[in-house]
Amino acid sequence: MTSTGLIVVIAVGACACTLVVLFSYKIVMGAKRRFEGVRRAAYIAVIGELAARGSYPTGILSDWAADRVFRSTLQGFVALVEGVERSRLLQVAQDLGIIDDEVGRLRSRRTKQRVRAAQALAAFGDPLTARALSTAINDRAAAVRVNALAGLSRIGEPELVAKILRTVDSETEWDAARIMDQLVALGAPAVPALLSYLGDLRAGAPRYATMAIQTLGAIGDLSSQRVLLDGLHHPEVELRAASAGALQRMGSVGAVPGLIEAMRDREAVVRIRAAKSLGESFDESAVDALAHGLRDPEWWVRKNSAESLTRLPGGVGALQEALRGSDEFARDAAREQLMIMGVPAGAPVDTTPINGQTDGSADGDWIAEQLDQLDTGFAQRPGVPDTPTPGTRHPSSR
Amino acid sequence: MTTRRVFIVDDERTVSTLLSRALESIGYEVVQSFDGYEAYNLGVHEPFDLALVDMFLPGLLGIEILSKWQKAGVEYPVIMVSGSNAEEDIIQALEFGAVDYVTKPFRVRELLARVQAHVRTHERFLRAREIGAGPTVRASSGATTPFP
Repeated sequence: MTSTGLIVVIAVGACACTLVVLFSYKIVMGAKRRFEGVRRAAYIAVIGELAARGSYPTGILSDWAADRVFRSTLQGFVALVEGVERSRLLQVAQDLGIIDDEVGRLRSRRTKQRVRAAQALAAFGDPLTARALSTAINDRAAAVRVNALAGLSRIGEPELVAKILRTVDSETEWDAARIMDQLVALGAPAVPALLSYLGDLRAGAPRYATMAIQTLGAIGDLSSQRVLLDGLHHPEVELRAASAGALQRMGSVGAVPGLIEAMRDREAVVRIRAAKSLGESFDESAVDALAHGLRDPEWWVRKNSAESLTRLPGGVGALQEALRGSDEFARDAAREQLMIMGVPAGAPVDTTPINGQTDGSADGDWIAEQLDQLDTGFAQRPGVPDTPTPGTRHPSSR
Repeated sequence: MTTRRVFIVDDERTVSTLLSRALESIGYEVVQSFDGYEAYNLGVHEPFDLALVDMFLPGLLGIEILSKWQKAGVEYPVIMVSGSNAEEDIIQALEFGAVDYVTKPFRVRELLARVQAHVRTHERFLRAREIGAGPTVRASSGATTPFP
């Protein structure tokens, strides 16, 4: 046999062996997955029974406790329920030694083990593991720290938040965002530490202050309103914009004066957020500022102002007013918004003052009728009538 | 007394199993579905007293199922069960016809109480309609019409 022939035979043999190995691996893994699926189905049935009815076959469960499929199924159930059922399942996890085992694995030298343990403990959220989790928030692996914080959030340990925030600046942006997500889950108890963190902003400009402000907005606790209003005057534009956005999520009427002031900010991004936020306030006193926003040089400010005006009492009147104003930008923004609401661009313009009485003209009555129908929630606009419908009232006359 | 039937639509076996065990423990008959399209068909053709529907499903989304059921004239109450507690999701689900919205994690006993309350209300509504003295209902076209 020539050397070329030998090489071909060896190559074919190697390919065949590789194929056999891959095929065997596929078969074995498929069988393993199927077996896991069968086990998971059995565990779901038993743990579901246990959670719903409280029956507790201790002997069988002890045999299953070491199986990671059983553990992950149990974690899934614990994450799903609250109250009595959760306590019952936690008790099972404690009785079977699963929680102690996970706490032990949290000290493992292998990062993967520690991450899995932290994930498991975060899912269980057992108050007895608070100490182990608070140690884990100093772990060198970010995934362990984040999961430990998730667990502490579930347990409700607000005093640790300040400690975490002291080191948050050294995290990557991604991990810091995940940490902030956990603080949102913790809710109002996290607010004092976040406020304290933001209080230190005056000394410099921490990297993640914007995230902290967004977190306060997502939590939506009114105690943070004062700090967010102060944030509207911060030298950093990002912080001013984030504050305006957070105040929007809060939707508080008390923030309206500050947001009106922010509508005059030199940076467009702040005015954009402020215009959006004022729409959430449902406060009539914001109408003038938003009407002014219709004439803003920035398109997004005009768009947000127009949208927000539709949410405020008297806001639609301000859009009508802008339609017959001299400012081209304002006219366009108002026309576009009225069209979105169902009033066509070519519609006759109401000549009634915003807060005045209707003059009885056909055009005025026509647009009043359109707005009346919009106000009452009819999405479908009827055809344009030749004459005004008798008895039509102007919204302002209500 | 006839057994009340509840339809559980959730692709997560843990949720589905837990809910069905809990409902069976208080005497309800349970039908489960794990897929949006199958759920839509079953929901239209089978008689139920209430449905528990997950927001995110393979095939059709929970609110799509709700919307299609509404158009098909399904009358029994629907409770949305979802992991999302976002205001927009809750409002959207209620606007699409859900009578209630429950977020995960939930308290099983509280959820059972909600199910029983909505089933009771629906039964009262059906009885009132039978005797012709019921309240008005909003038809699918959006117009408010009285019962005949």
